[in-house]
Amino acid sequence: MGMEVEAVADGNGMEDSVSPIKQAIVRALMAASEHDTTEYDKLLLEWRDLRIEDPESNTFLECRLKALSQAVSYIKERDHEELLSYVLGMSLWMHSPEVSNSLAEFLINLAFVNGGCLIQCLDMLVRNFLPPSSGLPIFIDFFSRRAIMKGMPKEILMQRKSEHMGRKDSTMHCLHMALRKISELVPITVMHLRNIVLQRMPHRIVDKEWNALYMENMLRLEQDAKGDYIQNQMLLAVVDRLIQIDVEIRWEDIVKEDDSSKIFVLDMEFDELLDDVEANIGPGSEAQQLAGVVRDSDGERRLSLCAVADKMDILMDMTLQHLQKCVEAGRIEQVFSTLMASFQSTILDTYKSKFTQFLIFYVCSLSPSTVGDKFTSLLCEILTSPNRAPNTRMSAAAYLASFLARAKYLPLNIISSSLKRVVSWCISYTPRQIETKGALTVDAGVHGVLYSACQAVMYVLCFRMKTLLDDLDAREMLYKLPLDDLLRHSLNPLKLCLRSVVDEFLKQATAAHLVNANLSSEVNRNIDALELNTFGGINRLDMFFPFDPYLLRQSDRFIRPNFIFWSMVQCPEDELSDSDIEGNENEGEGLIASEAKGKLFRESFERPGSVELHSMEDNDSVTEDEDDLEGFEISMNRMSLTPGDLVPSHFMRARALKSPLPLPAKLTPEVLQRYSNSFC
Amino acid sequence: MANIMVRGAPSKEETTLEWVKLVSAELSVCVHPAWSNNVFRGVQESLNSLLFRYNEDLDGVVLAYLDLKIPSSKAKILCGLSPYFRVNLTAKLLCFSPKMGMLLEGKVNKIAEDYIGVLVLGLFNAAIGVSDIRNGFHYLEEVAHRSWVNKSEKHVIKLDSIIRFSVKSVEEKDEFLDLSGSLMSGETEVKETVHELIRWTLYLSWHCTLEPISWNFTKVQVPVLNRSDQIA
Repeated sequence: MGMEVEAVADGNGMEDSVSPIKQAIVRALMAASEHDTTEYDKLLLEWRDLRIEDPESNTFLECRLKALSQAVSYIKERDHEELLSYVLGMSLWMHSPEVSNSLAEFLINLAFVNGGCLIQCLDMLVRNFLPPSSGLPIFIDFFSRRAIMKGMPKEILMQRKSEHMGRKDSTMHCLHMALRKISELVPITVMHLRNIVLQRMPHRIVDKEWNALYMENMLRLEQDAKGDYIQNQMLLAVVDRLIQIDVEIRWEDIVKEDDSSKIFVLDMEFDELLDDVEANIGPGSEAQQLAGVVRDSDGERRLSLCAVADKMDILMDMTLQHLQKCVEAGRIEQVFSTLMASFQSTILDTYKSKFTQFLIFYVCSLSPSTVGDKFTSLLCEILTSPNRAPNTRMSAAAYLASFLARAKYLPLNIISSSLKRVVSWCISYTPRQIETKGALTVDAGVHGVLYSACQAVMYVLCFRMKTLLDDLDAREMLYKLPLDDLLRHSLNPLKLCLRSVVDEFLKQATAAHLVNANLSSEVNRNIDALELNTFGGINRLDMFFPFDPYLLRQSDRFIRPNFIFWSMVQCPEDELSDSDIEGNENEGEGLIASEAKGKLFRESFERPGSVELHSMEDNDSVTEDEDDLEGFEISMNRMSLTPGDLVPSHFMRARALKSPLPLPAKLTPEVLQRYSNSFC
Repeated sequence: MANIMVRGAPSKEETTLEWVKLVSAELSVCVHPAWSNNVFRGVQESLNSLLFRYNEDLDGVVLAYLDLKIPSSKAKILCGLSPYFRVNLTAKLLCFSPKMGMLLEGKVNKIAEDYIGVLVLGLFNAAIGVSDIRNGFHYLEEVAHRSWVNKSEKHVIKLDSIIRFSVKSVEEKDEFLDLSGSLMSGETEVKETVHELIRWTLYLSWHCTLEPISWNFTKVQVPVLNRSDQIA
């Protein structure tokens, strides 16, 4: 019936042509509900035979969608399943804006009238977060799928990417308008939407472009949503996704192979490398590589690693930007409390997450005296709470240490009050078991929380001592801290804390007369004696400082201005400047050891993140020339506080090999052993 | 859902609205050991999973739970992979249970040529299709707003009107209700004000929808819901 009006005229004619089609459709739908499907079948045939390359198809679709959205109350999901599957299989990215708008209108009406179709409608909209040209099966629309089944190669679809991306703004606008309307009209939407969004999320190994676009949609949803619930859920999901990708970036992926030449390959031009990557990247290429579909013979692992870091960078940048917008919109409290929930449930317990925690770092920088304070008190609370698992508490100590040390914006009173709180907790620490003083087990496993807390105090002071001493109130507080008692604690905290932290702390503290001058030598003697037995044993505290320098190039712009690099730290005694520390280091080391260490250091820059540093140098506004970059890297390296060893040289070798590098998630002795063999 | 069981037959109390029931039920809830230092909260978390979903045993959609009581301080630890413990409790559950033919009240939130959309209790959508609107009503489209008008009965249904309509069908899909309504019966009408209980339930359920997880149900003042009781 509707075919008579096939050739639809322009603008005004549209309304006139819709109403006969509507009547025809209503008749067909009603008849189909009565099991008379002749007209309904004709209707289906029209859809199936439609060729979307045909310019007429847009008018055809627009008419029919408009007619359908005026006939939604006749649609029964059981009787008209096939028609629904055609319409809901369409993509907002494929057709003219008019068709997309009519489609959105239809969805809104359908979701509203027919509760049974609500989930399908939402799912359809969420599937439109990505265009069909992403090539991911779920996101391919009905018409393209038919074409592919009829023999069209998938590549042709993927080639339409630029065309689809060109209409990204209007499509996303249309899509989110529909989602917003549906959630306004149908309150129960919130119960479904989160699950659907999570379920449709492309796998983390899917190409960065699609991961980023999907996340952009999630953030848009967060921004548009009326209720707190969906906002919080989206933000939580975004953070979870970031964590997933974060933990994927593992430094040892680069060096896993025995092939020692790989280490040096990293010195080559990264721009070139990246060009190769770009060339190879089609949608989903990364996934294909991992699945073994495309075998990239040489350095495939490294390339994909590079791509993962790149992906992380883009996603972080997007999320940080979004957080900035939220804060500007006055939602800092809400965003922060969501982040805190996420922090406690995921980030805090994730083993050595590297980048995700900087979301919190950034949000705190926007209002240090309120949320910054809340964050530090939360950390102190977790650290001192006996109800938490020891691992969580130790992790909290590491976060506290790193945050207080690195956050440039933190007011001094927050730093000093946190220090005071932690120190007084340490002093009051009493082992649970009733032990005689002589028989206390010096064991990180048993008293790990105490050791982490002590280490946190020392680490913070390494960075902040000068600043604190310059302030009158803080200075007074600092001198009142029972540091001597703490360091001479019967559980001997200095023994298990990181050597580099202890050394640096003692040096600065002795210079500032914070601790008894004897302590340093006393401790050194003590440690030397102990070290022979315990160094490198399982007792040693794990090294992890979550806010070590941020290594992603693009998103670094949010972090850098608020960050204290080690090179910026002034020690209480001026003569103990960086160059001296470096000098000491070189003098103290045996030649071979220093060489090995130097190379290891270099390795440490050449982590996935620093791959970015090289590769993105060109298009970055922070135009650092090679030398600057090197300086930057050295400063980064210092950040992780490895300088200043005063240990006898025969330890140095061992130290150099075992000294934990800042980023690598797992640095096993075996890996390092292999290194040292190739170096020495 | 699997970790909540309704024990025995729940007893229903009528409320001032035919389609909202206050059900006193004995439940047993399996609580995860992580909640062992705060059982009450753990029970609440579990019960939250009941909210807004259709429950066969209770024959309705749970809107809120009130008067949560845990009589015994002892609970049985279940064997299995993780030591859940089973807590027996009594609670009053406020349930929405519409049946075919009942008259519901709701607020119109969409007017189209094809249908009228109604929101019941601020939470449940019901659509009245054009074929279920009685003769005499006709669709009127003006510049600013659309409406359905019945000149002989002097009814005007427009956005935000409160209407009383009859339930044409109730279907459950994946634990969620799908309502469709009808204006065929003469008892259906446009009302001046919303029933007070609806206003109260509306308030309650809105808070629940917005933050089902953090909503603290213990804070809710329970009004006495007797048939004779008309809240001013």
